[in-house]
Amino acid sequence: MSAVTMVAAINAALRDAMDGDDKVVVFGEDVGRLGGVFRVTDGLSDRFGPQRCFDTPLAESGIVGLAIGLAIRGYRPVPELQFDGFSYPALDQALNQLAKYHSRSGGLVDLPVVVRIPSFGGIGSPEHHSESPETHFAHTAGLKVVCPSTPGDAYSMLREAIECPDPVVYLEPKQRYWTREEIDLPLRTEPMDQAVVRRAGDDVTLVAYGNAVATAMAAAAEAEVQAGLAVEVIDLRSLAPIDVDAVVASVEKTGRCVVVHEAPRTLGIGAEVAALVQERAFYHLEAPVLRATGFDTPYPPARLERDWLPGVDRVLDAVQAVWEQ
Amino acid sequence: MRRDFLLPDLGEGLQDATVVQWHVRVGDTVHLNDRLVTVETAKASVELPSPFEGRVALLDIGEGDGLRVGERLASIDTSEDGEAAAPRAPDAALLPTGAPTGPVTRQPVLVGYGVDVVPQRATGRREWRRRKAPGRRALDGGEQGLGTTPSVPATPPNGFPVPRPLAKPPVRWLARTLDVDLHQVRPTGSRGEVTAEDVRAAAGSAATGDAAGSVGVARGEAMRQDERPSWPGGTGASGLAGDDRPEEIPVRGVRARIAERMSLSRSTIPEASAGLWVDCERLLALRAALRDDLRSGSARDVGGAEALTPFAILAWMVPFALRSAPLLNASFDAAAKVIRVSRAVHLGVATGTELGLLVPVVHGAHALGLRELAGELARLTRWAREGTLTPEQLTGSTFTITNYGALGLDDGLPVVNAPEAAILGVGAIAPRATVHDGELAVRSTAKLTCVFDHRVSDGADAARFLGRLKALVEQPELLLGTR
Amino acid sequence: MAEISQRVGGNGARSTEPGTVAHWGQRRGTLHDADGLIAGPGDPSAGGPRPGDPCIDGGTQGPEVGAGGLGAGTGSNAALRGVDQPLRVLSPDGSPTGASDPPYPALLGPEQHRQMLTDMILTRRVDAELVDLQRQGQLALYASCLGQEAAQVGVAAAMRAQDWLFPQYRELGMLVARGVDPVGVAMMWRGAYHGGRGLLERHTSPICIVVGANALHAAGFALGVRLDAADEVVVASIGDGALSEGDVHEALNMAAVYEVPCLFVVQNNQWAISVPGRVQTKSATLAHKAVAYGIPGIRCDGNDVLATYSVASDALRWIRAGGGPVLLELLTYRRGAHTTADDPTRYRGDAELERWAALDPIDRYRRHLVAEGIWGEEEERRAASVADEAAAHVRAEVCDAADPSATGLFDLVFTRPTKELERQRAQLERELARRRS
Repeated sequence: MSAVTMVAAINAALRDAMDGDDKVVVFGEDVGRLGGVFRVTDGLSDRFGPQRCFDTPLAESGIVGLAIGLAIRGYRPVPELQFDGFSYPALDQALNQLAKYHSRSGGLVDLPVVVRIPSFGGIGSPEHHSESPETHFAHTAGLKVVCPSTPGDAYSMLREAIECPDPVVYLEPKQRYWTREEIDLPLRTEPMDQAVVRRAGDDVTLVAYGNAVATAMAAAAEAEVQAGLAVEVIDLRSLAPIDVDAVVASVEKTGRCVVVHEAPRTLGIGAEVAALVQERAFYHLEAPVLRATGFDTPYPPARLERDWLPGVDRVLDAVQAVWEQ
Repeated sequence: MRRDFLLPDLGEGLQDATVVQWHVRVGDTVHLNDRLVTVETAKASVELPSPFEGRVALLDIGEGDGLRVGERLASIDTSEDGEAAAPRAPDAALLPTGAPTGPVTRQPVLVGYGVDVVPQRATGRREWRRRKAPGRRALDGGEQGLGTTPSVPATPPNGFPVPRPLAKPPVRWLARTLDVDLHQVRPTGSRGEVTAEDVRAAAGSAATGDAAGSVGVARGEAMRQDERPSWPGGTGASGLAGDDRPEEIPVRGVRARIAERMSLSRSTIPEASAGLWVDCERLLALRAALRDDLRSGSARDVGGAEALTPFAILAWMVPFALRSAPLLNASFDAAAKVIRVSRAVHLGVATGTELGLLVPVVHGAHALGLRELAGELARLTRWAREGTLTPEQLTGSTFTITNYGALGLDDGLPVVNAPEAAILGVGAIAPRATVHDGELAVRSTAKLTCVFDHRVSDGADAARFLGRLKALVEQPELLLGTR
Repeated sequence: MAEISQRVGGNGARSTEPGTVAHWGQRRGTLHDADGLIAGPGDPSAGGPRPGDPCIDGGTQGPEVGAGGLGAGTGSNAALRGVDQPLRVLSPDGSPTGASDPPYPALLGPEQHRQMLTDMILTRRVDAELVDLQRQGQLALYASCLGQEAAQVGVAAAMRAQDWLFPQYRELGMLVARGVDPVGVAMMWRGAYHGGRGLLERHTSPICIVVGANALHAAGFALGVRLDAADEVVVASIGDGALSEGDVHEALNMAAVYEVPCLFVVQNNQWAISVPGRVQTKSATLAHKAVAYGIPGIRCDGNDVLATYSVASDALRWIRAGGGPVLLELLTYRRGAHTTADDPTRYRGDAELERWAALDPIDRYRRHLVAEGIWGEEEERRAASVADEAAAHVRAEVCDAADPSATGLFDLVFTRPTKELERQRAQLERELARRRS
């Protein structure tokens, strides 16, 4: 066992996947010589050569489109879009093409593409470096969207995503890049489409993913200290599809549900979770499903992000509201 | 004024640095942005400019030594001429975060100020209107545990969490308003949920709070909530002091109909009664097994599981028992001098509602499977309490059951639902001292009472019926041989 | 679209109406000189196709690429200039090259020379201060323009106040030369505002972080200028990396098709973070790309402020006269890291840095002006003082500057906040009040 950062875990997953299958190729802006602006691809170009890990021109749409072509040809591309905000220039290729090509080919062509996107905020960055792009992808049929919150999951889910015959958008919570976990690699955790309970409880269910899992855990600890509540924290891990059974099983137990995410509130993953919960656990609900989220504004400048992001206080507000309902 | 220069976030993705070389010594005068020191991270060497003008007072870190982001590198005495240089910089100015106060809270990443490293905390303690006793600990601990927490499956191995009362949001609201604990309410909804009527009934019985009120319901003498006598000042004797005139309640609607039917029954039917105790342990075990199966098995049906009450199972057994005594499933036509024995069992179920006693009918109960009957029973009961039964659902019964046990009563003497020939009363299932296998034992038992029209049948019929029902309740496997 | 086509693509029959392209055509006589600084195929003095000829409705005649084609890449290629040797006025040692292309910008008076050099010195000084401020934890990040002062100040000096600049994020020199207070730029890097402050007042679009997106905005803005028949020119400032983006291709293409008054200035600083220019394109030069768009492409020594000024001035005059867009590649070098968060030692060596340090644009220009007798110790002292003052001003305003209120975010989403935004603002206000108490 050693303390592995999420960056190192993702790096190891890419290395092991490339070792295991020479059709796995990694490319993107600055991923080669520099090893990525977050050093996620450090050493891959040296180890596997510029044929399999290479820098691209500045062209996000091109990066995803290139991956599609490589996949049609039988490769397993793992392109990187450097930042969440820079995934938007690639949305045409991602939403119109990557998501639909399998269907368009009459099911004859698989697209085992994993688009890695360092995502979400909380790192004090300039504009477009802290977006929460998940809804755009999760709302598009044909894309799987996953988001690890721990180094172990980051490794395991990336390996599984690369093995997956379908396109996967793999969102990396860059705020968690440097957190460490005592693990042995290689490691396989739960299948990537399953949610897991990070902390069990029967009073309130907190549903979160990515950066927000840590916030939810902190809020759960506070709720226990302050009010004796046993708050269950569910790490969704997969945003498309959502493991609704896991959420419903928890809400049937607690009767109270709060969804936490950084993305703006309107039409976020929280809206979908709330809808699923009321569809599937209506009779169990003691209180409305609440959302502790970012606001419906552009992501704020760095100096204001602490006020804007859903922190422990905002989560506790929601927990208290559903608990005291 | 002495100012500290803390190692800032160098934006190189690492948390610490090593001092390579100092470019100043203690006592040196430095100007703004003079190179103070060269530090090395694992990524690069970086020269750090002095943020102050003044005299170097302290150099904390030796060459070759390391320090973490946020630790003090140097102190500079700015008392002579430093104020003008950085007029607006308070002591905390040089935190890597630019945070106004407090310790270093950001850990660098490669772009931007970096991420918070202090544990996320709430702003103070908040006022909770509801709390739980401390000491109930979740499976895992605190906020830093995320990285190393073994995850547990979201769905417990048994497939279903601890049962909670089911109810629609308005029902929960009603329960809260009426101060009714849903856990204490017997659910009658088709999915096993507590209905608004269940809550009102629970609130009502709690309000009257005495056996007489409950017996009244069992005997079909329920009153509307707003027609119940209300005693100012509560239940104490003092409440009677001011005004001893009786309160007058008009008899109309369902109440009038109940009065009419009860009078008809008692005035025309020469009734007799018989009763016996049954051991319900097997019945309860059967019910538990069936519920578990429905909740977690392949035919998962949570609502169905909730509807599967002991009373529902017993009601389902009644048509089988009636085969031993068909004369109890009959009616006496005095004018025609005929006893009509019904081939089908249409089961009336006496149900207390806000309006008063109603008897919805499970038509063709003899032909229904257990889950079908239980579901139908739950639906009819709910509709009865919601007042939405159709006339068909209120007529045509050939035999009636009344479950005053649900009101906590051990025993009762029900009134035959004319023109039927008999009625079965079911007392509360509760642990009682009993003789079992020749030994004194505590077992769940219930008193079954059959009141019958002695014009139609005799005590022996009642004895056969009750005896068979007792056998089925106590040995449910006998049902396997009934068809 | 039909309406725009009518207005933009309308043929000469409506040439007397203001707002039609022919209106510009009547002003073509103001074009620079017979030497033809830009001897492009659309040169109005030539008899060939003219800007303003019907282009949108399919009747267009694109510019003719010289027979030499891309491979020839010489001055004989009418569309391209400077692709063999970047156009240069000053040698690295500051002496005039004597080349007639471009001609020495004789119209510059001593005061303008002094102003340009002062702006370059000030740019470098403030740039260094911003790097220091980041090192001291006062900025989240900063993207230094060290080494690119000539390219930036030269272009800005060629622009008029009414012209418009659409910058990316590494244009401190352009911004200060246009009179933007660098504090407004620093506050963006501090993370107080997006886009900076005080830019629009100087006819400058807010800072654009998404590489190349601004090129389309510039093209659209320029289309509006054309529709309005206004006397303004738009400058899109992009880099070598941006030319790989689809947005920039679309911008160049549409700008060319609509013949809008837009100058695309590409500061080719050799590096897009860690990716060198050769990975971005197989084109011999970035100017070559203009050929395919049918617009003039010019390559110029971006460390030579006089060449930059001269070429940019001519291009702007050409554009003002209705010549349509021009692609101007300024060859320069990013001597600093991509941003303060970058570690360039991972991908480039010292030799390269030293080579470019020797081509320093400020030293070159200073030597020239000293030789011309325009610059002396007094001017140097004055410029240093101005630069120091600016740096001190930035430090004073930025250090521990109070953060704007987070609740103000809700005012910036729409022109008027929606009800839901008001609800969310109230929520945030409650949260902030609790934290304060």
